[in-house]
Amino acid sequence: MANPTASATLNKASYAVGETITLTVNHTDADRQTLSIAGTVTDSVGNSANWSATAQIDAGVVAFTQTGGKTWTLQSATANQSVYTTTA
Amino acid sequence: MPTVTVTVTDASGNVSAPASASWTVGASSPYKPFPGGVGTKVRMGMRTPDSERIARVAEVEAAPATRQLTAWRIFVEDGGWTSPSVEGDIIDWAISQGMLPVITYKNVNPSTTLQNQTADYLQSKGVPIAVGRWHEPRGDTALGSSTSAQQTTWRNMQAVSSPIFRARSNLSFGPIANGFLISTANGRTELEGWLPDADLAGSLYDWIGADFYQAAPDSVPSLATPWPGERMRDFAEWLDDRGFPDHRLLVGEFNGNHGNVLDDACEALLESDRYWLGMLFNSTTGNKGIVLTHDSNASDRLLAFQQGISDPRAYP
Repeated sequence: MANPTASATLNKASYAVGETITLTVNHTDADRQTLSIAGTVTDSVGNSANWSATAQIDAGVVAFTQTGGKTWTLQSATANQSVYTTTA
Repeated sequence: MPTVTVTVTDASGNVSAPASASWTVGASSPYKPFPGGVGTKVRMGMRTPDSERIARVAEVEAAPATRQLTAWRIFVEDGGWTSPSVEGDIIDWAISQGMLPVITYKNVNPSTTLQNQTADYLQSKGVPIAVGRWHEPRGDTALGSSTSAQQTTWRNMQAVSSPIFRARSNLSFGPIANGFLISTANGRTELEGWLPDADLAGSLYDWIGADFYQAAPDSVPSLATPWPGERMRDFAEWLDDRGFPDHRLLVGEFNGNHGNVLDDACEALLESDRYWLGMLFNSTTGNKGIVLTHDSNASDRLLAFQQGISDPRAYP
């Protein structure tokens, strides 16, 4: 399996003391897949309904190897992007 | 420069190459940085006649004040700019007290040599110093016989001096205009003649300054007259509306007739990081200000200013 790729971007280059720093980590992984499954369920009296579900497999885990002296708090995450904030 | 580095690991243990991002802290983004203008706290300063300087500073910095003054206004009046070190004793005193000197030099046509020598002298102090040329120029006939002529002379003066002082790494340079003009439509039109788009759009100024008083301070005080804090806020909004939100602002002089008026003026300075420095004119000179005194009434002007300089939003 291929290694994931990552990029890290800040919302600004310079901050005032106390200002919020927003870090966006984009992480792509060619191996990542979304598994979709579907079927039909039938109850004891013969009523039936369709169902479906998706599952994310091989999700990326973001690790901080250097924090810049800050504690970064996860604000949001999708399969391809994680957003963190800290205070300047 | 702080840096954050991240890696991404997938479910199989494959690890991405590290990705990094760096930033700086201190420059009061989004404003242009300049010596002494870093950070969001406001330098609260003052000015008195030299004969009252020590006593008035001691009075303001006494309890209940919990912080000290951090800026001092110095005037070199027309004809007084005779040597690079003029007012040097006051400059040295201010620096020794932890105050940032704010010096305005008059003289219509000082030699380039004198200006360069003065810039070198100030640079040699090794600390941030703010410099201006010919504060509050409105109506000064030494600059010309009409408003438009005065504006032309004054703007040329700024254009000549700015690169000289801004070339020194410790010095910042800006104009100090007549702030009362902000209170009327006609005044704003005139103010735009002193501070036109062409001068604000480029690199002429590190900061934009003006003086703000309550109207008619030498007559019977009235709460109905425009307050200096109101004028400070209007000045900032006026620059924003004109599309110039990137300069920090300086108040060269301010004062008010009541304690609550001074409360509001200090709050106008402290509430926004747009203003980086403001100095109270603690003097009756020129019939512009009123000496700060404790008042037995509810409106205590000295206490109002002491509370202003002691605010956590004040430098340092």
